[in-house]
Amino acid sequence: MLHCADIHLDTPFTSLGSTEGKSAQRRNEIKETFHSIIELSIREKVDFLLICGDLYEHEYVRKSTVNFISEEFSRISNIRVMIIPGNHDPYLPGSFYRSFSWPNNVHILAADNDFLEFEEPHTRIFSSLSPSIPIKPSCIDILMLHGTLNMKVEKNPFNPLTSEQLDQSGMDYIALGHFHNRFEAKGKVRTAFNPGSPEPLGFDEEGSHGVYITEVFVEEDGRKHSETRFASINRRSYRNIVVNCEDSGNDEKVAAVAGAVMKESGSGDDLYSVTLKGTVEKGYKANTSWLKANLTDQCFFIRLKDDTTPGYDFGEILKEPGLKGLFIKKMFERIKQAEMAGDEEGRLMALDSLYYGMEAMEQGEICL
Amino acid sequence: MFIELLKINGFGKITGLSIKLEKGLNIIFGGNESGKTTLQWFIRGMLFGLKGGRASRDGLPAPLKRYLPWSGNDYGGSMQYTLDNGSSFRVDRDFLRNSAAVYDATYNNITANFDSGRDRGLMFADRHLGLNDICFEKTVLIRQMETRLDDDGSGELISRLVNINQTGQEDLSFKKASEALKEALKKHIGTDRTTTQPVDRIAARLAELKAARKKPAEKRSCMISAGSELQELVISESRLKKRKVYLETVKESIDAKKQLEEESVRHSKLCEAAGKLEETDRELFTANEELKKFQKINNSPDAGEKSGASPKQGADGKIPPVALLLFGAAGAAAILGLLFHPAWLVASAILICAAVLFIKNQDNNKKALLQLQKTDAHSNLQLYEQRMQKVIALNGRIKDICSEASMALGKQMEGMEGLTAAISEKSAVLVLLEQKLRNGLNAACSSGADCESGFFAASTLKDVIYRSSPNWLKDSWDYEVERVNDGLVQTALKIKECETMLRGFQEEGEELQSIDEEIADLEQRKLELEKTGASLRMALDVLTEASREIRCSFAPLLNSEMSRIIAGITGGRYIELKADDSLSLNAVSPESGHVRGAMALSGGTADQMYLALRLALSDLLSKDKESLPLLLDEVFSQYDDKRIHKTLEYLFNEHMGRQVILFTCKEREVETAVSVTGGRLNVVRLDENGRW
Repeated sequence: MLHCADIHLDTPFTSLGSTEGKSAQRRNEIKETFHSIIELSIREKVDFLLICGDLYEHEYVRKSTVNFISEEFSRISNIRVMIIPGNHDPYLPGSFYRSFSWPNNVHILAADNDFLEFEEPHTRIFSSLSPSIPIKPSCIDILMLHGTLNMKVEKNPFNPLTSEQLDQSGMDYIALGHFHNRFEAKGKVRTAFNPGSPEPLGFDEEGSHGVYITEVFVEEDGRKHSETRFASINRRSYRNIVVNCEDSGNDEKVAAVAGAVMKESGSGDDLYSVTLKGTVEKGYKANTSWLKANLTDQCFFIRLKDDTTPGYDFGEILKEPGLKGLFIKKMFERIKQAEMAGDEEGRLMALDSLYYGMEAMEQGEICL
Repeated sequence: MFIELLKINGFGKITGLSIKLEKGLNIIFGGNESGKTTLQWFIRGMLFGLKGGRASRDGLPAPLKRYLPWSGNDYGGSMQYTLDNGSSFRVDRDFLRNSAAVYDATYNNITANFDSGRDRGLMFADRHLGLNDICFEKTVLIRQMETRLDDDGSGELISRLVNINQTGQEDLSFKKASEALKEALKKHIGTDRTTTQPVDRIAARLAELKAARKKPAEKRSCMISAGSELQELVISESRLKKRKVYLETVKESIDAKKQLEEESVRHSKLCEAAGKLEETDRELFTANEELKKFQKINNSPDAGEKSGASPKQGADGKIPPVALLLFGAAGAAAILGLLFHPAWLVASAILICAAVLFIKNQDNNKKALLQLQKTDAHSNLQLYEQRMQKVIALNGRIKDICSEASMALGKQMEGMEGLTAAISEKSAVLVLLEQKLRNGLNAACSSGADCESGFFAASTLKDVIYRSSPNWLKDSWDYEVERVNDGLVQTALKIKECETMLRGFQEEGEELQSIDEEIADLEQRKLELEKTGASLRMALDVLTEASREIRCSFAPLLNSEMSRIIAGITGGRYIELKADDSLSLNAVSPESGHVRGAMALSGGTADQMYLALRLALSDLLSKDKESLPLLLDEVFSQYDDKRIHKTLEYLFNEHMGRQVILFTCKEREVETAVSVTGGRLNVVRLDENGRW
């Protein structure tokens, strides 16, 4: 079977801002990636294509996209396409899962239909954790879920799951979806696979993206084992890079350094989030617009953040008895207070205030 | 620093004037319009240049224009001065060309050693004096009626003075820094009052986008609703069609039921007819029998008319045996009478009479009987006629019954046999119809699994069909079918509407995504700007706090110095003078002992107090730094003689090593100065032409 999830067809790309044409191009690329998944299913001659939620964005998906999906499914009429809804494509009134006439090989498992059994191969597909179906030794049992596994950090996690629950499920393969980065959660008894989005969608989704291809073997004595491999299929990668601008005093130098780092870390097809860091020459402020314009040819998309700091000798300035010295002293107190309170945002704000104050006192104007 | 020589080539009304000045007290004496103020501005102009630009709010032209030479083309001059360290310098300025040059003691041009600002020109005075023009004006240049500092000046002044005093960095200005921060806030972020700055523009654009989003979002929502509605309508239509098919099968059962009932009615009628016929047959038979009897009776000869037999013969015409017996006996008796005794003849006669009587009686009886019988016969005739009629009627009824039965049967049928055959036939039909109804109901129930609404719910169909009358069933069925047909028509219309609506929705572009992407982008930018704004405000707050703290720490020094000066100027009348944060002065009134604001005191006293402030500020400014000349322009206008004396005394004693240039038009002040200094002063007298 080929297991994928979180394709998010027709999603808006808010991480790309309103850069002309890039978001539309990415949306098209997601469609191409979806097409690649179908092609891969054919090449791998799978029996099942599992799509664990968020196939499309219900709020934005167009009818033409739904038609496209349907046409793609029709191309693999001999493969059973198993879909479970996710939080972005919920099975609500008005959902295309309800109102659209899908090809016969497509099965949508939802609340009123959370279990299907197939012959040849003898397989049962479940979409809920507590099926009250007896175990069939010769049958391959697959669980498809779209949810949050073992995560206590989120305020309102979507469909929270635990490894203990999955261990007790008795399933031969656990197919997850929801998180966009790939992970394999090894429980005590069984492993749950989360392939992530096959095409990354934001800067918090670095690394390779793709699908899982799994084969489940049933021995003569009824024992089952599976072999799973990951197939990377993403067209582009998101990369977060930090450029050290230590002692830089002009944009050309910064551009050169940034360009070199970008080249080293990725390719011209990728999307970069570049953060400039380090202490720069006093009086220099990076012109992010110019830098962006200069670096844009080296990538598909770039966003730039200037986190450099001017080279003030605060140690010396603190010794000054006048306004500057007192200002810095007070700002340092505020920074420390924020640090001790664990308020990172407050600390950064105080740090910015410090530099703005210094710039105001020294330059008599603020360059933003 | 002290100014040694002023050489005015052309400046306002003054042309070609050279004035030597000395350390210590210098008095520039001249009447009104002699050029004292002009000279003062010359000094200021030589040090810091002259500003051009618009006229002031009170209509005064900008200094550069105000002091254009009244005659000649030269607009400038030179000034020589010496610093505390003994270094001498000369500065030449041409105000018209906005040029300046500085020379050292050996006339080396050292102009390039000094910074030059676009607005401020050559800034040698900033370095040599250690303060800029504003500070100069607010401290060492004290003009008439301007001893008091305005609000704008006070706070800024203190801060700058502190910095100058403590760091020597005059250019570190709280005001400038705070204005830079405020400007950044206003220009790059926006404030509560702005509407066109970045945050405002972003907010406006966000509002636009959110409004723009409504339409495509609503359109999409409509489309999805239409799709959902269409799906439900299709399901509904399917259910209605299924219901219609179900109702057709129900109709078969209803028809079967009706047929069954009709045949049952016919069957009943036939059975009834058969019953009647049988009864009638029986009656007819009885009637016929009776008729026959009557016919017999009516046909006997003894009938009189047609009724009864001969009386003598009795019913059958024979002598009754009893009568014969009696006749016989009579005969015998006769014989006997003849033979034996005539009494036997009497007996014979009796016997014969008896016989005759018997016969008569019999006759009479018979007659009576015959009469009776006649009467009976008559009534019997009537009865006979009645019975005949009855027979006829019965025959007629039988005919009718047969006719009815034939009608009921639908075919001609005669007699009981025919009726019986018909009944038998009908019974068979009834059985078939029952079977048909049962089969129909079973078929309907099995096909109407989802049809539980309306009159003909599948689960209760049998009950309804069996219990209800055919008319009610038909009416109800008609109603149901009409409802279903109406429903189908309405549903078909709605389906068409939905399909038309869906077709009508133009294939969506990526409008929603574009809008949301821009919204996300702008919201991110807004957040960043808000963070930047918060940082700028924090910087401003902390800077203000630091500045206030510095002022507060400076205040005791200032107050102490002011108190010392006012005590000196007022001869000890006021010994304590304090400035608040805004440099408003307060003193303890010697009369009442209460703290009074300086402004509440007499004009002269208030003037003195503010002079004390200005002197204190300049003293503090000069402390351990380059000494600065004091320029006092008609500052004693509201002073009494005693105060003038005291003030001059103070100035002379406290500022011995300092250059004080007093501009006055009052001779008495000159006299007092001469008296106080013992003649150790420099007096420059100007005439009305600005000449010395």
